[in-house]
Amino acid sequence: MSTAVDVQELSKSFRTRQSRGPGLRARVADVFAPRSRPVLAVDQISFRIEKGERVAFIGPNGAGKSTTLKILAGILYPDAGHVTVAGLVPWQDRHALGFAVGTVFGQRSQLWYQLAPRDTLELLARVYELPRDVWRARLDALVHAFELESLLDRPVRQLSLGERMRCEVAASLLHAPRVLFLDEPTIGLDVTAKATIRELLHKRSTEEGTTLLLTSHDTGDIEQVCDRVVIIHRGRILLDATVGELKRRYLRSRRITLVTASEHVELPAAIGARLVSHVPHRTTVEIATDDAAVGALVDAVLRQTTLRDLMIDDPPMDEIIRSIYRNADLDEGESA
Amino acid sequence: MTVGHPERGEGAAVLAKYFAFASLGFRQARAEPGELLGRVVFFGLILGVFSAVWRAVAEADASVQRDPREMLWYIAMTEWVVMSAPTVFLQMEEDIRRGDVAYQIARPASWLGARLAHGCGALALRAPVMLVVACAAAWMFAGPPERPAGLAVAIAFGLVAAAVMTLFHVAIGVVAFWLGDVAPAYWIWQKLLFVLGGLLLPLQFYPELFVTVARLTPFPAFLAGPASLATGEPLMHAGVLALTLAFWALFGWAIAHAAFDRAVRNLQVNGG
Repeated sequence: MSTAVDVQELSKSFRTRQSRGPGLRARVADVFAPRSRPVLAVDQISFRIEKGERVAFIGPNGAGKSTTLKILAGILYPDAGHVTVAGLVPWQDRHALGFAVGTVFGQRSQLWYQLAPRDTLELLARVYELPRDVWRARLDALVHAFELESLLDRPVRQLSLGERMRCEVAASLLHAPRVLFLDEPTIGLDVTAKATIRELLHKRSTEEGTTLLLTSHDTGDIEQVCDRVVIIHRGRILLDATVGELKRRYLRSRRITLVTASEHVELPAAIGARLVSHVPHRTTVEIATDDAAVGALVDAVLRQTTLRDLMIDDPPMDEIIRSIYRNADLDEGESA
Repeated sequence: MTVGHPERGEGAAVLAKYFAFASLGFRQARAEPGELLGRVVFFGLILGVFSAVWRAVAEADASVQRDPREMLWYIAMTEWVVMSAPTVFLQMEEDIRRGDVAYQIARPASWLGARLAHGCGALALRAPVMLVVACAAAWMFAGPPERPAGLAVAIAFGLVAAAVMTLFHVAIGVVAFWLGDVAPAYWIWQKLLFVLGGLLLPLQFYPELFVTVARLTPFPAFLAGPASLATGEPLMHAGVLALTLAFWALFGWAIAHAAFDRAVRNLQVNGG
């Protein structure tokens, strides 16, 4: 495996305007002598992504994930640090990098709004200097994979958000980039459209060996597209692990749903089960991940009634990630 | 897997790239016929009004040495240039405001070049349509041109001037990186263009000092320079006008590039 993205000690800060407060004098002073203060968006982060890896880069709002992505895509200049993407320094080799990477920004559009997606795709073929036969073959493959036949010649303004996103992702893959940066690619989509985009991304990455770096607030994107998670919080990396490792390390409890013959069951305090929900015959509890606790719970229930069904689930990924953010905030509070 | 052209950045491929932006600009302008129609109606209307004004001035004041017919053809030419040059800065402002500029910058194409080419594409549709309106309205309100050969030269220079103006519009668009809104910059630009460019009156009507100052700016080369070639009293020789337009084109491009490079170094893409 060779390195697709290498980030070492990357830092970036922005300056934000600071008001002197209310009052005419302060307002006038703000106009003629504005004050600003630096805000550290990314603070000496380092990570490496190998070719073909699918990495989720996640964090709460303002954590620095979009800023990092934009530095890697050659859009922003960093303050310090060393970065290579596909062997190129993004802010120095922006033009060459443009051929090697693709970008999908869920809240932006690269499609020309009044025109049909075909027009944008034709334009991009020229921008990426694709020979006509190559681009035709590539377009055919993407149209087939993304089911774009019926969308290609309709004005973009008439497409639904899900349809538009399919076209956006296809447009970003047209030049077969080695690395694809995705900033919240499923934001605002319904569940079906989300599932389609995730499946397409995973499939294209597997088939073409495209490296994916994806930011998202949707844990479904992480679980269904990515193999590895990098969590960033207040500009610093909190965790860098595979999705499986993340669950193993942070999964401290399981959810068990008990379907019983009797309407109610008593949960002995010694087991340490926390009641999550209860309707007659159906009780959901949260319990420690060790097997002994689960066994003790099942024994206790069987002593009271007949167990008709039992379902064991991991808590949603959302909760795991929320607890990581929460712990980070607590740690910071303590150290402050 | 790499599907790109093996000889990237070659002249023909680069030209094809910007030609594709121009072609898209042309198609987009064609896809918005309402905008073009609005301009056509407005253009016809103002030429009608000015034809009446110049006839009234000529009848009321014998000291006005200009033929109203020539004056109307002059205004038709200056207005044609103004109304043909696309307002690319509005799309650039929108790109910056919405953060879509992030997409454009990450591509292997100059954003300024792409916007200029897109604007020139729109100009390629708009200029002929507006020229037909200009000539038809001027002919209808004032009669045929007195110097058809001069008019032909004026049209050729008017096209070049509109393209160079589009380039300056690109430079105005870059202002949106700092101000967020290009309206103030365009407002100042437009007023200077109308006054120093001689939109309604040939510059020869103005005091000498004013003309000297105006000649230090690009505006006369955009409007009075080309339009006066259709009259009996050109502001400058065609050769001088060609050199002047070339100088201002280079100047405008250098300014736009310098401003853009500075803006990108300090870029804070809107919307996170």
